[in-house]
Amino acid sequence: MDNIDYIRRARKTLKEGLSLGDLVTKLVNLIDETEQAENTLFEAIYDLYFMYYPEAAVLLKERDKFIEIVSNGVERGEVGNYLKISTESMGYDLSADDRSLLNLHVNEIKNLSDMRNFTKTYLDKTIHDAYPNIYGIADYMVAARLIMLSGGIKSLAFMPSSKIQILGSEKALFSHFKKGKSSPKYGVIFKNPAIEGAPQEKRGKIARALAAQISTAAKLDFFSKKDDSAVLREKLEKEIDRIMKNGTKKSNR
Amino acid sequence: MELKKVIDNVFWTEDKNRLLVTKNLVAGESVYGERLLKTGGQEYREWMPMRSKLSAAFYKGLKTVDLKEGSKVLYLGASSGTTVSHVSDIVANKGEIFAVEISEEMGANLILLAEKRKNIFPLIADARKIESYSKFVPKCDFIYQDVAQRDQVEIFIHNSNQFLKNGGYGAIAIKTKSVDVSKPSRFIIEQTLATLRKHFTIIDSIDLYPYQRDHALIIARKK
Repeated sequence: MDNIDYIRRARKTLKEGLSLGDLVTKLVNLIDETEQAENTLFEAIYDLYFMYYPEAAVLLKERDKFIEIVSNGVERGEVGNYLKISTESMGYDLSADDRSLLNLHVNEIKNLSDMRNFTKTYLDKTIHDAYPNIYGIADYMVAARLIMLSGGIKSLAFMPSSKIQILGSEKALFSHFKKGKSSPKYGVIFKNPAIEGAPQEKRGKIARALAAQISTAAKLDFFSKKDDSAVLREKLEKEIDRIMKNGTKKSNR
Repeated sequence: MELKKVIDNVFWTEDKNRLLVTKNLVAGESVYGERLLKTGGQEYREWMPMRSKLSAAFYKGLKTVDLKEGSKVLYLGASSGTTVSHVSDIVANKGEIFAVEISEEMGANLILLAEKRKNIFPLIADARKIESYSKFVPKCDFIYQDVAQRDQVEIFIHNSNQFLKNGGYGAIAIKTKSVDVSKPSRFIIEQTLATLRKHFTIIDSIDLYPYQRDHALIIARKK
């Protein structure tokens, strides 16, 4: 017996099994991994820079700010003038060669950072084109992570909104089941400005409202592809307004 | 280099460091980076116990297993084809291996392997859904399962009811931490053996420590 038929069939199954959802998953992973690489590199480069010019380094603890400013030139003169601090430093005086090596490293991390932002813009467009309804009400990164965690738009469309609400909080959910800790109120949808910006006691309710709308949006994206996100967004805004107006923490119990 | 036969196409090298090797079916090709050894004009592939549970079982004292040239094998959980490639060496050109794998990414490696080894028949399917591949798999002489799932014993029993010849042998690699992480390994293995005894005669049960942590290989014969 020959295995050619089997190979042909398996190749076909494999090709049909892959979808846009898989691409989204890979892109999210790529973005996350790039960011991790940036962080690791940043630590080492920051340490080196701290040795050279500690007065500036303490003002540039934030990674993106550090990259933005130091990539224009590592010299004390440039950075010091920009930050309006003295260029007299108690740090170790790096030679010109040392400084150009440092410069190369800073440029490398800048490239990584640019690449990540480019990938993010690309993912934004991908989500916008493929899932217009979810894109209309949720942040594109949130939408992408939901697609990744659910395993594709089909399973997201068939998922109850209560599950969408807590996707990505599996650790907290299981410690709730097993150890009786309080149940998670939100998973990856937390990164949505509507929840992140809300006061602590309202977040759970807003997460619930948002998950409900995302659930509807996923169904629309999977079955019709028509962009009805304006209607959903209006509903969601009304719901959030109601939640924000309604009573204090106590009266809600 | 002296060779001592274990089963068809599997040998121990009688050196200072004893190594398990299989006769390479496709000369010159290393599948996953394993060493190729040449002796007497024949090429052999090292079968590493860290990479393959069946190899680990031989290192832990398994004397024989009912796999031979020409065997028909159903392999559940083929993954990227590390162990499959050695089973392919064993059953050689007259044998057939029906390799079931669910994951697309692992499946891609398996398909590429099958293109080089004509005795591997890849099936991208879920071992729980027998009906999705039952018409492509004949009655087999041997079932090997390595799927690391909670219900892996049930999967094994269903598949052997459907595909294993009466009196045929099966090997099931149990990952005890996948069945229940909170219970000790011994307990899980006893539980598995009890379930298996309803349909099988247990031949051997081997703990694969230290080559594979929390794993055991059970050899059973269908009643």
